[in-house]
Amino acid sequence: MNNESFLEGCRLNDRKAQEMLYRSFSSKMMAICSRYASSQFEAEEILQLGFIKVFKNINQFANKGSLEGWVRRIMVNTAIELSRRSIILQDIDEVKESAIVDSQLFEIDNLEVKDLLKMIQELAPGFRLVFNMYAIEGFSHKEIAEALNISESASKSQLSRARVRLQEKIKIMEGEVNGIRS
Amino acid sequence: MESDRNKDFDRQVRKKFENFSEEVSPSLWSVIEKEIQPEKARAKVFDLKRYRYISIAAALLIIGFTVWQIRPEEKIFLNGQGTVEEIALVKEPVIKQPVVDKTNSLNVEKEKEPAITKLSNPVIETVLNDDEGKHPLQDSPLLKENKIEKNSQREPLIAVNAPIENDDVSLEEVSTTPSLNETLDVSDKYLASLNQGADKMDTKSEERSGIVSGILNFVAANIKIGEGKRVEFTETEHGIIKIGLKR
Repeated sequence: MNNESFLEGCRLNDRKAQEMLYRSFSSKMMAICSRYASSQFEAEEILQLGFIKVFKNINQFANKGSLEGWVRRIMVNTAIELSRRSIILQDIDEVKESAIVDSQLFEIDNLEVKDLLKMIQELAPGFRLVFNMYAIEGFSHKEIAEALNISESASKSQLSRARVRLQEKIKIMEGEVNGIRS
Repeated sequence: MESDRNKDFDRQVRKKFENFSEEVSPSLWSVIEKEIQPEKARAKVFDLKRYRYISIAAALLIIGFTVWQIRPEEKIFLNGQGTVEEIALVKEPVIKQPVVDKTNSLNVEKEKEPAITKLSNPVIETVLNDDEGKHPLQDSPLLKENKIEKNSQREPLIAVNAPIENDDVSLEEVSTTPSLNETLDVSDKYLASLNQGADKMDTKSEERSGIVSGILNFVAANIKIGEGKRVEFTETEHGIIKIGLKR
C-alpha cells in the first residue's frame, strides 16, 4: 500500500489506513520529537499530539509536496509549541554580537547518533529549542524570534551558547572514549 | 554572519539525524486511536463539562424536590416518645381520620362523655403531676380502663395551650372555657390518629430510606466524568447525603 492509497483512507476516516500512516512515519517522527524533548516520555507526548493533529487536519493536505514532509512540519510545529510553553522566557536573554563565540573545528563523524541525541536532550530547554530550529530545521533567526516572541539577538545568543555546550559535551565524550582505548 | 565553522558544525549534526529513527512504544497507537475516533461515537459519553450547568440545575432540582417531599416527616413522632408540647403543636395530618376503632378505649371513652366533665374531676391535678409523657400513650393500662386516667393523658395538652394568666383559675372555670374544650377535641383526634398511624409511618420511613440516594444515583449513572469515573451518592442513616467519585 503506497502513501496515496492510505491517504485516501485517512480522509475517509478509515481506521486501518490511519494505522498504516502511523506505522509508516512514527519511527522517523519519533526521532524528530526526541530532539526537542528531554526524555522519551516527553517525546512520545509530542508524537501523540502531532499525529492527532495530522489525522484531524488530513483534509488540508493539498498533495503539493510529500506527505512525509507535511507530517514532519506538523511534528516540528507541535514540538516548538510544547517546548515554548515549558521554557521560562527569562532563560532566553540577550547578549552582544561580539560575545558570541565562534565554534571550533569539529569532526563528529565517529560520534554515535544516539550519543549526540542524548547530549542535545541534556541541553537547557532554551538552548535545545533554538539549536534544533536553526541548526537542524533551518529556521532563520528572524523566524525563531517571531515564533518564540524574543529578539533576534536573544536567538543568536541561545544558539551560540548551545553550540558551545554541545561541543564541550562532545569533547568530554571523545576524551572518555580515547581514555578507554589507550 | 555565521562563520564557516559554525555552519560546518550545524551541517554535521543535521547529517547525523538525516536517516535517524527511534522506536515508539507499542501502546501509543491505541491512545491516538481513542483520540481520533469520530465525534458521533464519542458523543455517547455524557460530556459533563459541556452540560455542567444543566447537570447542576437538574441535580439541585431533584435534591430540592426530594427534600420538600420528605420534610413533613420530621414533625411526626412515630414512636410516641415526643414531648407533649411537640405532639400538641403538630397540625392534624391530612390523612383521613381512621374509622373509630372499638378496641381503642381512648376513642370509645371520648364519645361517651364530654371532655368538660372529665376536667371537673379533682383527680386530674394528681395525675397531671405524675405523668409527663414518660409512658407511651397507647400502652397505658389505666388509659383503657379508667376515664380519670384517660384525662390524665390529655391534661398536659391543656397545660401547654392554656394562657399563663389562667394559672390561678379554678377547675370549674377552666372546664367552661370553650377554647380549652376545642383543644381537647383536637388533641383527642390527633392522639387517636397518631396511635393508629404510628405503624404505618414507621413502614413508610423504612421504605423511603435510600430513595434520595437512589434517585441521585440514577441520575449520576448517566454522568461520566472522564477516565471512567462517575458520581455516586450515598445516604447515611441520619439522612446525610454524601457525594463521591467511583470508577
